[in-house]
Amino acid sequence: MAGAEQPLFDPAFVRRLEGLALLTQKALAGRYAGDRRSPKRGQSVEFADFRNYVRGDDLRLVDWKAYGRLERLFVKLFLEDQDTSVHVLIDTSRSMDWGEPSKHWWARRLAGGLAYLALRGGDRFNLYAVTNRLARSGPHRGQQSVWRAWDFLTNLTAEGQTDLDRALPAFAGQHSGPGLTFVLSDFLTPSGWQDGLRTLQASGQEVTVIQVLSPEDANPPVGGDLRLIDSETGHIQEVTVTGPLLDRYQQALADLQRELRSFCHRRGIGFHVWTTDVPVEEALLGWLPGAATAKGGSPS
Amino acid sequence: MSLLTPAAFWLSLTLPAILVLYLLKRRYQDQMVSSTYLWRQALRDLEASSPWQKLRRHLLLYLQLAAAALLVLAAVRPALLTRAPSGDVIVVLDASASMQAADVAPSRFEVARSRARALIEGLGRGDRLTLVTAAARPRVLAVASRDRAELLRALGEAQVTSETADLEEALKTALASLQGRSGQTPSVSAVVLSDGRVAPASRPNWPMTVRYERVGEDAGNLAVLAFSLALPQSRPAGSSAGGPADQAADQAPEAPALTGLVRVANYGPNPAGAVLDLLAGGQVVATRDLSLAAGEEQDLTFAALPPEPSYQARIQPVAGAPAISDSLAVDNVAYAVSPSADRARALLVTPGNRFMERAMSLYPGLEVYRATPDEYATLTHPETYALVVFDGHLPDRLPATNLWLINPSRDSLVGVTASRAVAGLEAADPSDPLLRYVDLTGWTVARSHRLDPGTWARPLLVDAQGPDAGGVLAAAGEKEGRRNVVWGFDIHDSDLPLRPAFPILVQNTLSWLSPSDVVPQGAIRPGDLVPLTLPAGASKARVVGPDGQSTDLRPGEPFAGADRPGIYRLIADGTEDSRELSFAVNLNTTVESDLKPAETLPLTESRLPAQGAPAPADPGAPDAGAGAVQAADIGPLGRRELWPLLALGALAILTVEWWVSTRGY
Repeated sequence: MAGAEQPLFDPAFVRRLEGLALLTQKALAGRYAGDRRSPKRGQSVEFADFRNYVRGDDLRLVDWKAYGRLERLFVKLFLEDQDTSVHVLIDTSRSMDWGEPSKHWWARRLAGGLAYLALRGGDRFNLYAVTNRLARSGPHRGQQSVWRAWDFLTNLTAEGQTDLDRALPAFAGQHSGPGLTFVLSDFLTPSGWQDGLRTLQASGQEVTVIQVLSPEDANPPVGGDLRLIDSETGHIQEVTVTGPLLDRYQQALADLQRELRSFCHRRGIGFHVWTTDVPVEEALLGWLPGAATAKGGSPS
Repeated sequence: MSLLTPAAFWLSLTLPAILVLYLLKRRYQDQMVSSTYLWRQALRDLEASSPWQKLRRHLLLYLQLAAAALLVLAAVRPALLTRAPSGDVIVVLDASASMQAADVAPSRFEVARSRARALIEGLGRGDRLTLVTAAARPRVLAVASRDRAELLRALGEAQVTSETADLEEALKTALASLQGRSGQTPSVSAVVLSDGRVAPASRPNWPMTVRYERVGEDAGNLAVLAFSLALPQSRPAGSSAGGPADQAADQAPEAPALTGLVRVANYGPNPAGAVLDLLAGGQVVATRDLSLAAGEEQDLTFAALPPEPSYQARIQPVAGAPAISDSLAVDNVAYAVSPSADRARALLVTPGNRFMERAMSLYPGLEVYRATPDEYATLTHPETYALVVFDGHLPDRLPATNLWLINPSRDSLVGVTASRAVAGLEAADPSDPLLRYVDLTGWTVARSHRLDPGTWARPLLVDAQGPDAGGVLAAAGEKEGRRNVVWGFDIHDSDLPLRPAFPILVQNTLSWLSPSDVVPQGAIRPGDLVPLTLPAGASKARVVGPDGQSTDLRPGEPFAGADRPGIYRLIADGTEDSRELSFAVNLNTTVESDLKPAETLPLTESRLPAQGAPAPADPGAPDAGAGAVQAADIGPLGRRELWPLLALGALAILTVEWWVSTRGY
């Protein structure tokens, strides 16, 4: 595929990621900070707010300078120390190795971008290649670990089949507790994905689903009498491609996306669809819509 | 339902051909896709939403097959036959001259033939068809056949004639053939394919329905209705009884000029002009312009025609004039033979018989010569006489000509007994033409030989009573193509010469024996049986028709080969006097020349009641037995061809196919 020809992480991409990181860092933190307020409040060094003193409050937290000026007792509140875990699960089945550019290439590049942003933000980062089993890279911490994550991504190949209903619970069993989890897949899997996502969410993860489709998936450039071969399973389907059948195909795709979307919305799971002809940077921005509007600019 | 061209079914090979092409074309191309998951969803939705989706995948194929099938069906030309008769069907194909008319293309007969073909092809299972053509003599082509191929072959053999149709005879013959083949046939229906221009006939006594399928339109026609040549009336009919003349060729005097009488008619609805030519030996001798009003008949007289043996009268369109409506060609020509100026010669060999000489000389058609037995012995060619009468004398060798033996003394033509007394005589058959107008009452013959007529002769006069009652006194008959009369008694032993009827008897006998009967003088129509006898002195003869075809004349049988108009020549072989006798055969009948198709078939109820059935008391009552006459034209046989509908359907399907193809289904 063309993705093999174009390097995953070329310098131009890295430069754009740096710009993106500057743009999005605050927003990224701001978005998740309120949600992740720790019960051990005040142990952080970052000031958040004041509130009136009530009996029983730790006297060490009283702002005596304010008392000196105002003769009232205020307690200083500090942000929790946000040591968030970010997990990215990449579907690396054969069906991902498809399209121009391929979904595999695009998903890995997106995962690389997420790794860069997460590690720049000081989060812990875990990378999982999902087929029927999990291959893990991480946990990574610190900006220097980006290269290790990227090495792992570069060496990933699209092999075998993916069963999300089995792979996601396996991941959930390893990681209980809060964290951000991104699932990157085309979701073109007959075995289903609902149970996997349910288990993932039940394990306390904040889940974001990103469906990666190639333009060929959305608009198959086929016609006539075809023996369609499933790249992942080898399943053979003979079809006579006609206008109505193509309409039906689009309908089936729309049905799948509607089901995914409604499933995710009902559970508060973030859901995004990207086709691989969209630059990864744009996807990162689109995934963080607040950044673009808050800073009044959009990266090319 | 019938198929008019079932041979076109081989075109149905196009169906498997389309299928094969489709299968060859329908090669699935391998195409790798990331996942067939969505495709399966799409197909499942599609197949679930319309159960015939699997068919729809090959919709184009099915449409093409349907179009091809419809085209093949159109090619075999299925047709619906309405009111097709069933059971035992007799198809009578009118083959008379009027069916040659070309008012309907290509001719009435061919139209009738194609209708008969439709009938054959519409024949139901179990129906049997008898095919007969109606002309002067019916011709049965197929009897009670179920085999369409055989029937069609038989139909192909049917030929139109220049004759007049005898419908009654055709129906009777067909019925007889049918019963001879399959015994009693309870329900018979007959279909008469005709223009109705047939001689009036009566129905056969058989319960059958007769359906008249009218062929032809009202068409104009010019016809020569009659043509005859006559001698001027100036020649005296004298007779001479002189010395014998055995020279073969009698130098005739200068032949007199002839008068021609022609009757022409215009049967068309419009006036017509034409030219009438008289031809002799291929040369136009006389010509006259015709101008006939609609329906007019004209008699034309041509005087002072040169004495040629035969003439032809011919109607031709005026050169350069607009075409006239003349649908029938066969009646545009008529033929006539010049009447013979020569009278036949007869020889009376007698020792002396004034009564016979006198009676024979009264006969106008004969030149009578007399000879004694001694003089007769010196004759070298007695057979050149058309008739030799031996009175009381019998030569050693009888000449090969018509003979009248009076009082033969020994066995010759007939066996002869000794002469005995005759108690009384009577006619063996009073209706015999030789005894016409002859009153035998009181006739006396004293004594007579008794004759043994053998197989060829019929008795004329027999003993009325006495011991020899029934003994034959006189006999007549034809032997080896010649006519002979034998009287077993001497005239002088009877009172015959004293009877007023004696000359009549002699006239009758001479008339029957006379050579003028060799060829008939009356009008002969195509298909008539022509009663011909061998000319005097000839041992055999042949008839040469207008087409040059020669037919040997079989003695004692009429000539049956006069099937077309023209001059027929009777040529006698084996005689030095090879005089040719000719007769003309002409259509000459209004029935055939008036081409207006008859509204009803001229079939009348048989006057005789059906055998075993009482005559219908009330002619108006429906009569299932002898059969009500149902000869009215009830319209042509309906045959609705379906191929235009099928072709239209194929076009519609092809249009749908094009639409489907462009829509990408």
